Amino acid sequence: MHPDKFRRLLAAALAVPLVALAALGLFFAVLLHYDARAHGELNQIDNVVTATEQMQDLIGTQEALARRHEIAGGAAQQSALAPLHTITRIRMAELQKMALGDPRADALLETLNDQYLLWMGWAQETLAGKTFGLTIAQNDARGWQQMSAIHKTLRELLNLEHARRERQAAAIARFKRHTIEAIALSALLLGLLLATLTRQSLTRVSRSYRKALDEQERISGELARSRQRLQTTLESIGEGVLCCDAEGRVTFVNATAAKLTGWSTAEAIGQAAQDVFVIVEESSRRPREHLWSAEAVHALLASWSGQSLLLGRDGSEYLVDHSASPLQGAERQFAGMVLVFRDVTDRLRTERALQTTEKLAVAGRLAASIAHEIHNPLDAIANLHYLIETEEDPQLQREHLKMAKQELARTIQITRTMLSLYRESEHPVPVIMSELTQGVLLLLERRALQQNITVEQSYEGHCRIEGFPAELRQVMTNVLVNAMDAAGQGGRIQVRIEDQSAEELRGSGVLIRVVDSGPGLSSDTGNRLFKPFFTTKGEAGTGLGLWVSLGIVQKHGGSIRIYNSCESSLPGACVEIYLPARVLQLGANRLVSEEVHSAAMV
Amino acid sequence: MAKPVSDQPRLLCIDDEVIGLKVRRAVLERAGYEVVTAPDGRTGIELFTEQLFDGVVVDFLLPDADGGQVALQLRQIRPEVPVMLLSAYPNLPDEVLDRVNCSVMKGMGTEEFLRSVDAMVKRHRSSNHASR
Repeated sequence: MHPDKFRRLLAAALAVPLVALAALGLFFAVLLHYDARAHGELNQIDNVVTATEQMQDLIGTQEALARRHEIAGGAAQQSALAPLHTITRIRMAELQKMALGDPRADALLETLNDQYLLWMGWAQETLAGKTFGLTIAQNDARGWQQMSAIHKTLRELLNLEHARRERQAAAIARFKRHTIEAIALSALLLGLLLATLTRQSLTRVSRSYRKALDEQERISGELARSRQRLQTTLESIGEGVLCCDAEGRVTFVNATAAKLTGWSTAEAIGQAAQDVFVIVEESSRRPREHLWSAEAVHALLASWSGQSLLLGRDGSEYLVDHSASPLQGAERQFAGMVLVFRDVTDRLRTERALQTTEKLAVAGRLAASIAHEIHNPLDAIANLHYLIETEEDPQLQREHLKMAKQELARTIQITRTMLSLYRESEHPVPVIMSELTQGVLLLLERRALQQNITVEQSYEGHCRIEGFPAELRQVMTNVLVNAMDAAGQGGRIQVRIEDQSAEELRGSGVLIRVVDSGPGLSSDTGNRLFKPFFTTKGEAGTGLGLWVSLGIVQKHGGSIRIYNSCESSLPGACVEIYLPARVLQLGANRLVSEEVHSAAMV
Repeated sequence: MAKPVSDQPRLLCIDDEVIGLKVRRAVLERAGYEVVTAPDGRTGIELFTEQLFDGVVVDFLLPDADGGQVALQLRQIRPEVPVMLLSAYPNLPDEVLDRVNCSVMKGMGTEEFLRSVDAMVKRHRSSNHASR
């Protein structure tokens, strides 16, 4: 799983409790606010009650003062009563302000005020000695009556306020109870919610984590399997594979490499590569030199590539094709080498056997014409021998002997030409391609005559190269015999050889062109021309001619192209062979991708 | 057309091998034949048309045709004249051999060759005499 996704998931899991706690806090704040307001109201009611009680006291004091007057009478009470009267008026106004909001309390206060003012009027009158025509007792009774009405109103007011206070207190108590219940309930719910959400989040997180872990396990399992598969593949392939580090110490040897070198994997690891992979040149058995320098990687790889005789530890010998490739480190530096080698002993043996077969087939094809060539002078010699035996004139005898000698020389020339087809020099020697071709044409002359084929020849320049003449004769025989077969009865062949100056991609050399008047190549033969055992001649051909020829030309570092001629006078196949002036070292082996150098075009 | 003036049998030899032909002529002359030579089929057929011969010795491999084809044309001109095919090849096809009276391989030896020529000419002469 992606780390960002994981982080998001964790943040979501934490955000829910935070939001829930914030909501709870807000809820508590609202509760507190309402609580404070309820208490404020209660205090107000208390204030009203206190003020009402004070009023009660104040009025009580005034009443007492008024009573004392009854007993003592006089102006002292009257003067004491006046400030109380004022205070009572002020308090009354304050109380009226306080009790604002309750219509009943307001009405009672109104009544109280009126009653008080009535009483005040009575008290002042009475203290001033006025009785409004009443008797004292009657006047007093009137005062009493008024005062008891005031007390009654005050009691009603107090009762009212007490009742309000009780209600308010009960409401507060209820509110508190409800608050506690709400807190407990919301805490419980929140707890449950948080528990559920957290559990869900954690489940999700843990599921994701498990998934990521599973993915990790799957990937590492796949890696292990793919590693195992590669290991098995490397172990099972037919090629030997040997790896070594930058110091040339063996780090890996597969089963085939172990078999061919005779070193087991365990023994080989850590050894120097040239001690495990011991190779010598095939013909000379000279040990091959190995370079080991990280500065000259190309030279290093070249010294480890080629075709050599591999000397196994157990005494066995294999002819191997081997090639080295570099291993690169993280900073593209030289980190070692992979050596891949293949046992080509059987393949080379088969190839050589096929080449011999083709050589014999060429001999077979030429045998008839050679026999004819030899038979003619031999017949003449036999006849001359008869003449010499029966001749008595020494002059004529000498003439016959001279002729016999000439015919013998001719026979020897023919057999020598034939032998040179099969005797090969070890090293390349100078070859004049025009002369060599003429020699081959001489052998094929009879054949051309037999089929009435005209052979046009043109040679330009020295036509000189370095090469193996017997093999080149074989190539020319193959190409010319093919051309004759293609041209058929009464046909025409054009042989042109010229010097070729150096071009961009190849050095100077000789270009040979053989064009015939035959039908040309059909499109389906084009791609298979150079494959062994491909023939258009049925039983008459081995199908090895061009394959062997290609091998020989490549050995010389040259190339063959076969295409259909564009000339209207000679519309058949055109074989173009390029041979370099000097045999290249690289061309010593048959190339694997033959098509590259032997592009057959139709 | 003139008849042979002498008893010497006349032979036409066709071969492109210069030395071989020269030597063969010497051998036949030594054996008492009169020999006319031709280097190729066309010349041989021309000579055969113009002159009379007791036999023809033709090489199988000629520059302009093979011995069989030459023999076929000679037969068309004068079928009674025997033709001997000379060849270096041992196994010539039957269709070629059917067109000639006999065939001899080169290198069989001079005596053998002369015997065959003699037998051919004699057969021709005797049949000629018989027909006369």
